Amino acid sequence: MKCVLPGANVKLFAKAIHCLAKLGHYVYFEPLDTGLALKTVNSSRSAYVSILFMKPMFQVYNAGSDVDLTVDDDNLPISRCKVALKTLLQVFKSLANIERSVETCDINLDGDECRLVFQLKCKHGITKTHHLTFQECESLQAVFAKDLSPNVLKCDHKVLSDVVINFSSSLEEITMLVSPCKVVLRSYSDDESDEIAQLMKTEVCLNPEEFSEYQIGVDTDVTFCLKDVRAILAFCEVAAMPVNIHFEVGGKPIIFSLEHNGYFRANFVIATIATDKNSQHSNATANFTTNTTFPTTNKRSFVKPSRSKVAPKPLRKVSAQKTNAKPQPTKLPKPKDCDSINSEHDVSPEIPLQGGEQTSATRYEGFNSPSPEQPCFKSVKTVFFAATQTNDLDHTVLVLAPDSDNEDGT
Amino acid sequence: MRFRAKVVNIDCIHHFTNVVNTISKLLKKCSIRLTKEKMFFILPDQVANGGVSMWCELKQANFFDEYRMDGVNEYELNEIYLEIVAENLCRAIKSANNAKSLKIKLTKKQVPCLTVEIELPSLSSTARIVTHDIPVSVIPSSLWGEYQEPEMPDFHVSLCLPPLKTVKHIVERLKNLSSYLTLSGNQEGDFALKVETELVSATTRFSDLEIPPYDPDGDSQAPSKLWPPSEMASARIDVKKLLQFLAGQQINPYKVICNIVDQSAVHFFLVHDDISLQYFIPVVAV
Repeated sequence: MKCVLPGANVKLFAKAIHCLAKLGHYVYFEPLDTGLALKTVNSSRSAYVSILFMKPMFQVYNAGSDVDLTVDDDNLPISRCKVALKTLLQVFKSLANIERSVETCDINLDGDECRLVFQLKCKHGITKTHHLTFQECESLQAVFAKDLSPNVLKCDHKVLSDVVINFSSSLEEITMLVSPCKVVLRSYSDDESDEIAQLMKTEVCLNPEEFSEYQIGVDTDVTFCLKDVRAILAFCEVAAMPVNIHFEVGGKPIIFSLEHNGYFRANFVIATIATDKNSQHSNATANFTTNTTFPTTNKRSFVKPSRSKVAPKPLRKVSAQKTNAKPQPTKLPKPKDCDSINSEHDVSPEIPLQGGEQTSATRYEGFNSPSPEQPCFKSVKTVFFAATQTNDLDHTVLVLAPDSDNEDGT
Repeated sequence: MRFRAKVVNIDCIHHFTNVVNTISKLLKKCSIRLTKEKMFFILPDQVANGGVSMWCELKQANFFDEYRMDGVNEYELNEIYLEIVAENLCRAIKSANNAKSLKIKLTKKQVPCLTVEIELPSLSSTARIVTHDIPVSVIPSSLWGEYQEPEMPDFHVSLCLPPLKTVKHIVERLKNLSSYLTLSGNQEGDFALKVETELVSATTRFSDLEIPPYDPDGDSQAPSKLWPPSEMASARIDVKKLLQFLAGQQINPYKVICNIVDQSAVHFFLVHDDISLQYFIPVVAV
């Protein structure tokens, strides 16, 4: 991979890195035909970001010879890589500096040296070169049905920023209630104990006229992480594009997206808390997978338009996935949707979105989490990662997060 | 018990915001006393506060366009006393930076709350409404005695401080030398801030400061006649508390009167059009 970003776009790139750094630990670089994709997922698997800088944004763009991965046991091409965000952030630390002095940014995947090289050519003949180590990785892809969301809102990012600023900076989660006549954003507290009742509650009421597009198919309320949204809005400020919000009901992810046709596309997929009444019918519409197909016995196979190769690399993580113990609800949306095993939807919505609460050990026995922090948000996590696997261990599947079902297939 | 007040004028909103911000910088928990004419923010003299106490009163008519207060009962107890976390109120009012209107009312949600309702301008025809529910606790009338206006101590010296900004800068520098600062002044208009440690002693002196006029018919109290005019009365106080007072100031008062009771306490009195704020800092034992 080798590409060159002109100065004007480096700021956006840097801001993207800042935003990713607030959410995840690693950024996955995926050079695609259409452009360079930066992706990350947070440790509790409740937020996924994919930012695609398309070819026209680059002065030079060369995705590398092996875009269509023919993955072999021994011969994994080093085209995708992941880099620690803490490290990468050092390269793009000062936005003001970058805006002022950087003329171009060269990004080079150096296979021989095994380094990802960022070279910032600045004014006055200064060149800053950073050699970063990377890890090879599989494609990080959440499959979500953005276009099938019944509820779509579109507005200027300023509207959301102005609303969000009214909420306490320590507030973790926020609930958005929508109906055809108004949108209400309310601070959410997951614990009804006395102490929590002592916290200040805030509510902001918006008129549908504030949105350039307002389509409510399902009157609903969704609760999601406000901290993630703040990070997203900070990015939107630099991107200066209107924000699209796609969502359905509690339990299904909410997707914030920015798009500038042909140049840039960003999708922020945030998990929402599943509420009890939704648990019967909730199915994750988002699934994180690697580039594998699931030759499952499950009726619905999710269709991924992109590459679909099995990566029989030695698994670092749990591979066996279990079928859903519960019967599949009949009320499922189109086949394009990914199925998921969400037997955890009997959890109450009281589970905090983030924070130190460890999930019960039974769920994660034997699971070797790649990240030091255990995913701790039961219902939300499973929205994303309950996979559609069977007991068939022949199909070794590399997933980025465990199935939270029991290992013994119950 | 009912309380409902509304401000529409943006200047009044900002003014009120400044008062709330100043108060929230001084204390964590604050008591609010509401009467028909005035609104008080009180921090009573309690051991838990380290001896500092604060009394701030403002005439509601100068701030609120609508004000309706029905106290505990109509007769002697026609007042409301609430305890609130000052920072919450401050945060709530922050939303009102460019508000069309600000409403405050006493409500009962799961717990008694002070609900702040702010109408913000928006792109659409209907305004955006931001509602903050701040939990409060109602102080029973049996405890109202603790929240009376503090008596003016028999102070020895009274003078008007130099501009607070100047004093703040000096105290900020002196703070690095020691945790205790000695405030002293005399009835002739001399004032000094002194810090003394084993290694160093640093003093900043002001002179020719204004002496607040003593009006025998008015509210002010004469400094003790027994104190020789040129003698400096001093009080050694905690620098942090003084800095808290100086740094949080957003009210821009006309004058700040400093009353010193020798070896006992320092009393600051901010004078402004419609607000008066008093702050007591006791001496620190040597």
